[in-house]
Amino acid sequence: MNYSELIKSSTTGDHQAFQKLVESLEPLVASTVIGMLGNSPEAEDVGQETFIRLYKSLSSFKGDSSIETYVTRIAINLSINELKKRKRRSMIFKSAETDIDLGNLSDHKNPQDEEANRQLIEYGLKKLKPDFKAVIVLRLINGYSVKETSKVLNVAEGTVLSRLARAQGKLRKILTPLLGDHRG
Amino acid sequence: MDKKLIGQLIKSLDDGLNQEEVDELNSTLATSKPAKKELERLQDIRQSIQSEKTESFRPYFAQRVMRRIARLKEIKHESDLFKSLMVVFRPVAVSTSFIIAVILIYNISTGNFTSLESILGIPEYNLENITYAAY
Repeated sequence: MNYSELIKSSTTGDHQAFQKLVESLEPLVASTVIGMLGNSPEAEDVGQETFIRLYKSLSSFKGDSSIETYVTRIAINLSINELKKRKRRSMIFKSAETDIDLGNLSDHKNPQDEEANRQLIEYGLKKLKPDFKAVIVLRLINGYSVKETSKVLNVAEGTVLSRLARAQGKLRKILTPLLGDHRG
Repeated sequence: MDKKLIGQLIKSLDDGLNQEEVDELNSTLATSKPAKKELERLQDIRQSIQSEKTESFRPYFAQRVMRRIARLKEIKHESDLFKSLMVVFRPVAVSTSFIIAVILIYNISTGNFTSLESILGIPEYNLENITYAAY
C-alpha cells in the first residue's frame, strides 16, 4: 500500500493501516526529532506526540503538501517547542543540562574516534538557536533541498539560505578549533 | 581568513551563489591554498553532521504510539459518556434548584422558618419516628 491508500484507510478507522504509516514515517520523524533534540527520552516523547498529532489531523489532511512534508513540519514545530521548554527549565533551575565534557574529548588520541566526533557535532548543534538548528537538520541531516526546507518551515528560500549560512558559520567557529585538536 | 570569502564558501555548498559569484570563487580557489583548505574543512563539518542521522527510536516505537492512541480513545469515550450524562441531568438539576429556591422564598416570606426543615418544606423526622414507622 502507498501513502495515500494508508491515509485513506487510516481515516476510516483502520488501525493497522495507521500503524504501517507510523512504521514507514518513523525514520523521517526520528532523524528530524533526534537531530533537533539529541538522542534523549524527550525525543521519543516528541516522536510519539508527532504521530498522535498526525492521527488527530489526518481527516483534515488535504494533500496540499506531501505527507512527509506535513509530518516533518509537525515534528519540527514540536521539537522547537521542546527546545524552548528546555531553555526555560534551564533558566529557572540553572540545571547542569548535561553539557559535553570537552576536556575529556580533547584527551582522545585517535583522530578517527567516531564517538568523540559525534559528541563534538552534538555539542555544536546544541549551541545553535532552534530556528538555525531546524535548517541544519532539514537540509544536512534529512537531505531536503533548500526549496523543500522552505516549504516545511514556511519561510522564503532566501531566509533558508541566510539561516544556513549563519548556522554553518557559527558551527565552523565552534567546531574548527575542536576538530583541529582531533584531526591534527 | 576574509569573512566575505568564508560566507561565499558556505553559500556555494548550498547553491546560494549566482554565476558571477561562482566564477569569482572558483578563480580564488584555483589560486588560494588556504581557501581550498577552508572549503575542505566546511565540507568535513557538513559530512560529520550528515553522519549524525539516526533513523529509528527504540524498538517497538509504532506499537507504543498505537497504545497511546488507544488510551486517548478510551479517555475520549469516558468524556463522551460524562457529556451525555451532563445533557440528561443538567435540566433536572436546574429545575430542582429553581423549585427549592421558590419553596425557600415562599416559606421565608410567610414567616414559617422555625427550622431549616420547615423553611425547605421537608417533613421533620427524628430517630424515634423512624423506629415507630418500622413497626
